[in-house]
Amino acid sequence: MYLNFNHKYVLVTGATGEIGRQICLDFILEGALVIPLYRNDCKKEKFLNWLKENGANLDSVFPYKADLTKRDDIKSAINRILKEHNKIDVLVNCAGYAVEMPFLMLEDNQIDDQININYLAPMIVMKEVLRSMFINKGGNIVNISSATATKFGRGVSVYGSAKAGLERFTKIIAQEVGKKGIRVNSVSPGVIDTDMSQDLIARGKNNIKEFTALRKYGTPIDVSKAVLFLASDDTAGFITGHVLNVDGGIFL
Amino acid sequence: MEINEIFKDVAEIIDESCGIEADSIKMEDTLFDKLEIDSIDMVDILFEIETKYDISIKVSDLEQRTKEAENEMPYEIDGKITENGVKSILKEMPEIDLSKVHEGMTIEELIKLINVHSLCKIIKLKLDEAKE
Ligand SMILES: NC(=O)c1ccc[n+]([C@@H]2O[C@H](COP(=O)([O-])OP(=O)(O)OC[C@H]3O[C@@H](n4cnc5c(N)ncnc54)[C@H](OP(=O)(O)O)[C@@H]3O)[C@@H](O)[C@H]2O)c1
Repeated sequence: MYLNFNHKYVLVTGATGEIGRQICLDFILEGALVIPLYRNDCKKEKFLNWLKENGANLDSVFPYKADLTKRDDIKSAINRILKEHNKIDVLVNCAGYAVEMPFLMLEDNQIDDQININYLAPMIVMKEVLRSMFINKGGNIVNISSATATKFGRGVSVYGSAKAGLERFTKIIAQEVGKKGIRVNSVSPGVIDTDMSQDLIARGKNNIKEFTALRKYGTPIDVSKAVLFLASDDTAGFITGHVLNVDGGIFL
Repeated sequence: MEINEIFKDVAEIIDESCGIEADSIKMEDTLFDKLEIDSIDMVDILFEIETKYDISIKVSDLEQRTKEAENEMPYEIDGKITENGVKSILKEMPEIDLSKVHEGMTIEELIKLINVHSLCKIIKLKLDEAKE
């Protein structure tokens, strides 16, 4: 399938994470110019090495640093990106942070960080990026949500409700900006076999697979393919405000 | 920059953002009533203006000047324009249809009277401020 990402600038937050790096790789392999946002220099080096090992040409990668809990950091990074590259065609809000613990055991900063990274940061990034999408008369946003936005709530009160907020925000913004040719969608992964989900997998033992129609965990590639599908106007040009579950049919 | 030059640019921006032919746009056309520009198109227009002139402009700027002129006396109470508010509008916004301005009108009703000329004036004001 021809996805048509040649010469398109794709901004990915949370690029150093296991799902984020896969999304970056797949966009690069489809001809896009990728702008990964990262916050830690060591992780950036590891990330770049991983891309290279997996066949990416690093000439297509333009990394920028920003801590997503700091509004000024986000704004100044996006300002610099737009000054240096002029446009952002696709935005993928992939950064996420989860602390799995009963609500009453969470520290205040754990509550704040989960709200800030999963809910507020995508809003701030979108506000800055949408401005340039308006000026360029088009664009595309994919937010990475989570199955916990609608299912299995225990232990993920703040994370799950922040992701639920992100899904609702996605739909409302899709309505607002649709007439400007901008599409906004979310991908909602179930249990993906990454570091983030190891605690959950260990606690759930085989139960999670039992509840999953396809009887397996997902991979970062499963999520990434869904993101590229939604981000391409050729494959999903008439899809907006949609939440695409990539969860193997969990709790159907 | 003269107001007529600004008007030409603004008409083109409205054309590009909303598909209303630039040639058909007049200075006295109200933005929200006559031209039926909706809020999302308005955002688009303001972004285009900001980029073109390198200024910062908000919808509230359009009626802000009248408030500043009469800051001693209330301009509006509970969203309704006062007698002082009317005086200030007559002085600061002569370009709008003043026959429709009256005490007790709502801010929303006032915003509906804002026209292309008002927008051009605020751009000129911002450009002049930037020069100083
Ligand atoms: N894995 C799953 O099973 C699963 C399931 C459902 C949804 N999701 C969602 O999928 C997305 C990616 O998850 P993942 O498994 O790839 O997680 P991950 O490996 O933990 O990656 C999270 C990414 O977010 C970045 N990040 C966190 N806090 C940040 C901050 N303050 N400033 C800048 N970046 C920050 C991390 O940066 P560092 O590398 O510097 O830490 C990392 O790049 C997340 O939105 C997550 O909620 C994952």
